[in-house]
Amino acid sequence: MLVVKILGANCPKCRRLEQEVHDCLNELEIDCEIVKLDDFTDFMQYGILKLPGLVMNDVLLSTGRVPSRSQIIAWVAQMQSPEHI
Amino acid sequence: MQLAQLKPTREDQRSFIIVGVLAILWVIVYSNLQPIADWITYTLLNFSHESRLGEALNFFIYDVPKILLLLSGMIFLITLVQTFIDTNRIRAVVEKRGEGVGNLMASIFGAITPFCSCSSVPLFIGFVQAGIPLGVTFSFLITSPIMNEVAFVLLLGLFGWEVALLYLASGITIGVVSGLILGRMNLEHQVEDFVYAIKARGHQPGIPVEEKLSWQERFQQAAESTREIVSKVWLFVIIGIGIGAFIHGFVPEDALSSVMGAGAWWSVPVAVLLGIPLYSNAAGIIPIVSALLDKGAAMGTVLAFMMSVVALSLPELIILRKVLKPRLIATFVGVVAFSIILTGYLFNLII
Repeated sequence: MLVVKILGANCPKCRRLEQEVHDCLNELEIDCEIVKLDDFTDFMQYGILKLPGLVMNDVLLSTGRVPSRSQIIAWVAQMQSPEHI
Repeated sequence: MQLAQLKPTREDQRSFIIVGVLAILWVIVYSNLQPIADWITYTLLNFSHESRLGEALNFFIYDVPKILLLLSGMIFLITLVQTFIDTNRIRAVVEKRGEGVGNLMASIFGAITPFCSCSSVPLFIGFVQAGIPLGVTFSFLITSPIMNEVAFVLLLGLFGWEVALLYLASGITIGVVSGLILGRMNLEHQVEDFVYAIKARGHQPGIPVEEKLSWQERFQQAAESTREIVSKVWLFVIIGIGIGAFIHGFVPEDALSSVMGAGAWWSVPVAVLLGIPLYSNAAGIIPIVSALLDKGAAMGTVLAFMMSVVALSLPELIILRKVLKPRLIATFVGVVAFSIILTGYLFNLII
């Protein structure tokens, strides 16, 4: 199952990423788990310098920005491809 | 950065054309604002050139769109440049320098790197873990909030490029000076102990980390950031210009020169102390700055006031408390306030 982690605080950008990811995954109707992490030991674990961070299946994909919807969808597809399962 | 990745695709070309057309429109409108404002006030609304109300209205009709256009255009440019800034790479560059050069570079990078205050803790830990000296880390963390793109653009639009550059120079100076002082104080033990204990896992090999952005994505991100920033500040800007126009007309010239002029030596520290508890965004503070300057306050004093308002904010200090022990927080505030005062005097002296 796809595990998506959003690492962020309560700033506008972090909230926007959270919203975007929820919308995307709802639309795609994929069996997944979305986790919001807001503790800085989590940030450090992934070596994130700027919030928010997006992690899928333990792979850090973006930091400090809100990726476009098409980018998020592409990542999800990549994660679902055989070599990542 | 590999050049192949910068080569525009067809979608990129389309977004280049859209941005180009918008830029041309921007220039045409911007360079015709005065004739348009004149036409609206004196022809359409039929005010006479001698009427005071007409003058004020003309000023308002000219200034508001000018500042808003400047704000949108410049913020777009700045945020576009910022999409190229990779914090990890900055950290790698700063890591190789010692104190001094390291402080200067960290400060310059801090000036151009945007991050919201919620990122100051991960940035701090990330820098300390990379073995970057505490003073250099502080140079980065101090300059970043001082240098605000909205403040920069408003100064540019209202006072010209000299003042905007002065703002940039003083922000970097404050970061360097504060960082150097803090670095000399051997405060490593005043950082919360767990910071040194956390082990970063780092990137696993064979996994794509950050994908390179296409031009289309960069334009989209810049447009999104611009929309976000401008929609947050436009009202403040209009109100500010209104208040500025009012003060301009009703407060006597030189009313402040005895209190905030370059001659009053105590005015710089007082301005900085006043600024520490005040927490405001740049958009709200610049109109006040503009009004103060008009009435005889000295440039250094006014800049010092502005920086102390934006640099030392309670929310940021509360966030930093997670990684810094109380004594270091207090030292941090003291040293930054001191460098702002120093910079204030410096600019009062040279201007």
